[in-house]
Amino acid sequence: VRRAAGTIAALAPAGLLLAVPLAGLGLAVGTGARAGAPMATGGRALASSAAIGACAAAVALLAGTSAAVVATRTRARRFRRLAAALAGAPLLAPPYLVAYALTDAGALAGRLPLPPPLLAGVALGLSLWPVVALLAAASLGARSGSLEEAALTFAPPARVLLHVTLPLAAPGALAGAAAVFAIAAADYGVPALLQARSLAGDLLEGYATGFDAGRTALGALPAIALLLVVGLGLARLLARLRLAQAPAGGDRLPAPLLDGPLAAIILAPGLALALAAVALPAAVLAARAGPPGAWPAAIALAAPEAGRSAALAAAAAAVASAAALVPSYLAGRPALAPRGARVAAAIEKIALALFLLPGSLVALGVIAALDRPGALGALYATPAALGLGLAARTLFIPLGALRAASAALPAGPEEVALAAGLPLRSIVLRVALPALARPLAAVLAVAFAASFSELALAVLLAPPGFQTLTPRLFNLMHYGRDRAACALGLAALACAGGLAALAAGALGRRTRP
Amino acid sequence: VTRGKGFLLAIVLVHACAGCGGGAPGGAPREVVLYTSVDEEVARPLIARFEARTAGVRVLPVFDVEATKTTGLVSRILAERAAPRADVFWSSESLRTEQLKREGALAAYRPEPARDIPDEWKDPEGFYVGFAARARVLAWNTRRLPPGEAPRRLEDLLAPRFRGEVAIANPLFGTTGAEAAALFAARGDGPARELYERLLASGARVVDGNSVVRDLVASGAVIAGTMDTDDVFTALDDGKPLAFCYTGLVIPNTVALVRGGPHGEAGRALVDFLASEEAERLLAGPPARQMPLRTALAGAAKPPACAVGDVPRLAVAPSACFDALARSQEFFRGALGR
Repeated sequence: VRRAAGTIAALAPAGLLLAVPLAGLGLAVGTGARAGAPMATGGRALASSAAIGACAAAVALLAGTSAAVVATRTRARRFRRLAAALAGAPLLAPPYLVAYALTDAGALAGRLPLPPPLLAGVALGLSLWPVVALLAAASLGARSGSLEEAALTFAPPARVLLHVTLPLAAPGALAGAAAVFAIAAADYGVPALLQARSLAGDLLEGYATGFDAGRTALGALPAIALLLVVGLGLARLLARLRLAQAPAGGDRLPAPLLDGPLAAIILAPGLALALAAVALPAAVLAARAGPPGAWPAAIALAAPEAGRSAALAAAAAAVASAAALVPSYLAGRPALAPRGARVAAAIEKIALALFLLPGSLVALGVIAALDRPGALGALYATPAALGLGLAARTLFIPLGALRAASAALPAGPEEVALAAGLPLRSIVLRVALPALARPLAAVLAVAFAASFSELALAVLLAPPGFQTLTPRLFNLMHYGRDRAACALGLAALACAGGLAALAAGALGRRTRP
Repeated sequence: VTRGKGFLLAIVLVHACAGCGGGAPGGAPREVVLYTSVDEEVARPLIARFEARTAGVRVLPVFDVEATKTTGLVSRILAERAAPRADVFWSSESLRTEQLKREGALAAYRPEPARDIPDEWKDPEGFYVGFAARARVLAWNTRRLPPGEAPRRLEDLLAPRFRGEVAIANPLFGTTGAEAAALFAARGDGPARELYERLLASGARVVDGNSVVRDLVASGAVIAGTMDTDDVFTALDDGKPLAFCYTGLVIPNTVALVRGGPHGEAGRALVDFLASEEAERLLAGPPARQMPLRTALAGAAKPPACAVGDVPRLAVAPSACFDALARSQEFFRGALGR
């Protein structure tokens, strides 16, 4: 009983984090149903969001799969390193900076090269393709390469790549593409900057015209259902990937399939897209930011907002990672506590659903849950409401990543701890945490980056006097104050670069046995 | 052990950060909560000046985004009526301030520094006061349009030359909504609806805000669009190939005290400051170059801005514009499918 109570207590933070926005959304939908006609969320917005998601997924699939194949199927170290570096590079460029650069490049050319939804999809695909790369690499990494080695005895490398390697990468690549589709379809900032209609934008507008969370959430129900269907499909794909990742043992050395020129050819699309994702914004921002001597003043103007954003994103990432630690470990090590593992798996699915919903909808849930008299109302009037929304929305990132990392841990230390009668809390703190330090650092960095650049939540949940950097930057871009916006964008790129370097450093260091 | 401590430290940091920021408006005497739909870069210098003058009163601003201009903040004030969080509403236009007054969300207050603003810009019952105005304009890209084909009124945009080449901001929000209401009031619902229906049918792009219209016209992505004077002046400052004419609507800023706001005294001080001559002078400079309403300051706005008296205006009463607002919004919700 004590063990079960300990498990429940350990799962509670993650459950509570998810419960606030979900309960709020439930309350809002109920209130909206009683209040009358729902706020219309147009079919055109849904179609536009679907186009954005599909385009982003296509771009990400192309670049991500090629990077993953090279990273796992070549013995040429320089290509493996290049592929890994490329997968981290888009972290340098928040999606709205890529969008801004595309707009600016389009404006220079006289008009935008693609219809706005497709352009928004390209911008988001350029930023999100590492998701596909990481999952496809996970798919391929779980296989030893012996199939390809056998096939190479009677078929040329290109044919082996097409008929053996790509099908092996497919589960991860498709899961990544589905994730990119869902994230891009739920985005607000990039479509808004590129004048593409979007579901998240319609929700924000719908809420702004009446400040009625109930009717807005009710109007969004069809979209919620659609996103949940995508989410369930994604969960199934991820589950298959989990099976593929299950300790297969054996030799994990990459097969010598892609050495030399073939690796370079396959890597080319990823290289081009990664360069576009980083170099284009950097070049456009530097060109538009005016003389470098004026940059510090422009950056100093938004220093308070940057500080708030950093503190809040750090807090949200830390809360989400801390709350995810036990559930992800239990889900990854189901033998430890089978019932707890089932609950943890359910928490991960719910977190995935929340991750896939537009930020504006998650914000509506938080508003509906907290904007009421009493203690909850007092909480709503502080930055904690925004922090809570960010942590809840990004919870899936540490849950999913740490679950996969936990599954790959050797069983020995845990078995010793169990035999010694250590409680779950001690096993997690003394056995799992040291072993998971490296992925935890990476997860913190990714969750920080996701929270730092979240726009819709910041617009709807920031209390008076607590503006964060993203809305400031977004407004500057929208209002056409080019120089200040570009100087700030460059600073954001530099900060993201430092963060990516830190994460890469953490990943590159050996963990203690 | 060190890692464990680091982790605990991170959690402590989380809790510390979650409470930081000092944003809670919970009755602190030296704070004032300002909801403003004025562009952030225009509002910030005035906020800084007010904070410097009052030595310690901290303004907690809430800005909106272009996509939900003004309407979002008005809806928020209305939704918060039971427990207001805002003390002062500073709007970039006047119709929705009138809406707040009629909904009972404002407190009557006549700022003493506004005594020299002409009465036509002040609410007769003292619920809000207008200051520093902009005008609505029709702007076009001079590289894409020969001088002889320049439009002079909105109807000119219906010519085949402009098919798919016009952009307007979403008329559910901001000054574009105010302009539409004024047209409904001045011309009658039927003709105004027909004008907008034909404009939309000819492929006019409806985008998020006047600044986006400005960028589209300035880049040549479309030939023409409607916007505010400050938008067109920003583009001209950047050397963009734009020319413009007035559409007949002068739109003042308005400032009002929110009924039941938590910081009444500081709120009144902020209203006094925004209605003062100093604020109008500040707004007359770049980048806003808004036209002062005080006759003594006529012409103070930096070129190419002009004085309010020089702008040809539609012959329509503000109350008629407000009455038309709901009808025009209803029309656009249907026409735009929103």
